[in-house]
Amino acid sequence: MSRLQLRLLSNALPLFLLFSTILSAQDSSRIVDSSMEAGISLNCRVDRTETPLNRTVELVVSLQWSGDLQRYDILAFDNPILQNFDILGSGSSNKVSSVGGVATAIREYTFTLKPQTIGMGYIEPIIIKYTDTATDADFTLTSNRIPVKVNDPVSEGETLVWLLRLAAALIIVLLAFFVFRLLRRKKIQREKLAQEAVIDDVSIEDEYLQELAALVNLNDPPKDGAKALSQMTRLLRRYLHEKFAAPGFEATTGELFQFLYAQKFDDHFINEMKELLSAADIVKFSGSAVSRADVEKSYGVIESTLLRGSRDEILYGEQAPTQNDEN
Amino acid sequence: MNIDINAINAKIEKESEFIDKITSQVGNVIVGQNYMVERLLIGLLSDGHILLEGVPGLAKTLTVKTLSDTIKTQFQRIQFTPDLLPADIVGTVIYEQKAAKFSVKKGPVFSNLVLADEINRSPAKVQSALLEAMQERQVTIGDETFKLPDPFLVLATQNPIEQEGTYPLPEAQVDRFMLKLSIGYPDRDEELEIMRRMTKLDTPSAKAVVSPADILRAKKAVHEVYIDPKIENYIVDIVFATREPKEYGLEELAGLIAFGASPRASINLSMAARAHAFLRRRGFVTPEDVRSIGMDVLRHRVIVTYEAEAEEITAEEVVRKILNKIEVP
Repeated sequence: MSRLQLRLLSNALPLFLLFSTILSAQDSSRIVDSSMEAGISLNCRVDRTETPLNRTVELVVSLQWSGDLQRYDILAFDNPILQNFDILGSGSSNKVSSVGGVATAIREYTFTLKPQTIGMGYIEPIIIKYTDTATDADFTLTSNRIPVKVNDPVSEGETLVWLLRLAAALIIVLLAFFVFRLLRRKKIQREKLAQEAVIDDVSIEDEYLQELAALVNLNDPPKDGAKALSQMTRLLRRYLHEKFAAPGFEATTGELFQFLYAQKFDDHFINEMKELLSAADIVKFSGSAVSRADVEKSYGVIESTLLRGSRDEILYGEQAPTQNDEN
Repeated sequence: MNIDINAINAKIEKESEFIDKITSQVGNVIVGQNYMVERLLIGLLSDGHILLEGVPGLAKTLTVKTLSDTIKTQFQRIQFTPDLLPADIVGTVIYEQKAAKFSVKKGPVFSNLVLADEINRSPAKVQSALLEAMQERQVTIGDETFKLPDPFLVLATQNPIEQEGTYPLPEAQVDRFMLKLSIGYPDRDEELEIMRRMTKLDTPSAKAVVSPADILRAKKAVHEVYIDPKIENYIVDIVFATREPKEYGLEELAGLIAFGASPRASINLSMAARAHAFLRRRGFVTPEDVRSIGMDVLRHRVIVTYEAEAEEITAEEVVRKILNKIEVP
């Protein structure tokens, strides 16, 4: 080689390198490097050569070979060396296909890269080493350096933010509604319980006393004494039925007395009931007139019975005094 | 309208004095059976015929016979058999050769108290002859009509266990009996007393202590016993409940009753309740009287369905449910 040729070569080499670098950068989204001399071809590519700061870049390292798929033993390689990028995530996949009756294997390594700052970022050359098991020869594949420009971040989409804000507001409103409803229900329940407690406090005797007072006004006695007496005795029988499970209106007076005797009510109580109800039966069924005194007397007996009942003074069953007790 | 109940009570008290005499005399012969004796008196006082049902040996016939002994009345017992003829009961016209004319021969039905023993042993035509006489209180023999004596009471018995060779009384005929009594066994003490009394050499007997006139006066007094409209409504409610049980909250009985009680039931219940009050020396009827006599008046007037029979539900159970359900005034 002559000196002129050497000079030309030395001057042209940097230019060639510069051009080749520019060309490789422009074409880096596709095939970055390929070593067809070896049995395996290496292909490194990025999905974009410019990226906003708030987006990611995907780097795919692809190895492909044909023929005997078990022939090559690929050695593990480290993560790519990056400038101005961080690795967010990585993954790999293997694929086997048949092209023209020849089996082809493709192994891909995928890296998700996050830019660090605005400016230029680089993916340094990736070196893959493998062994041809047929010849026992080692090979090395090297990709080119891939530049990626990092631009200003883009806006994140105001609509989504607003939607999220709206959803959050809706959730808060719904929560508030449910909490309000729950509290209200609890309040109503508390009030109901309080009312029931108040109702429970009113004894059945009090209720019957009120009803008795509403039925007959002793200051202004009813004109139809028989009717008033009949109503009062029915009230008494209702009370006996509710309080002591005595036979209801379907039972005759005699059957009611039988019940009182069977339940061993105290003699005083039975005698009072007999006197009152028998007298009422006579009035009710004999068609005779009822005097004011009769109404007042019956009223008094029923009232005192109810008052005794409210004080639990009507004794029956085991409570009632026996003959021996009286002696 | 105010009723002078004291006057009625006084009259009832006076007219019912003989009751104690009768029960005392009957008690000399019959042990227990107060229920049957009382019902017989109710029938006597309210012109109601009585059907007695009970197994043999319960002193049904003896009680009726003893009751008739206490009253100075005629008593006839007719044993119903399959070959009995209507003429054997009501009588017939016979030709008297000596007088050369037809004369009427009255049958045993011409009596104050007639005991038709085992009435279901005779065919329907014989039963009908008696039942028509019971209803009409008169008998036509030949072309002549004869009134039956007053008081006139038919007491029929039937045995509930032997059904072979019997002619069950049709429902329409049974309805003519005011009361149907179901006579039960005496209790242990009564049985003991019956045994002792009836094995003595001289069996006890009852004396006649009451005249038919007393009975007729008492019958009149029974009609004067006051029955309040409330009680009348109660009776009608009970009878209507046998026809329309649903309207009285007895839905469970709707499918069990084929035929309810007839208006005759209301009449008889009212009269029997009055007589019951009379026996209690009371001048007015109370619900107790109605309840007490209700079963005897209604048990043969409520006809149950096949479904009820299949479920072994008797007319008595149906009536009991009705009596226990209808509200007392």
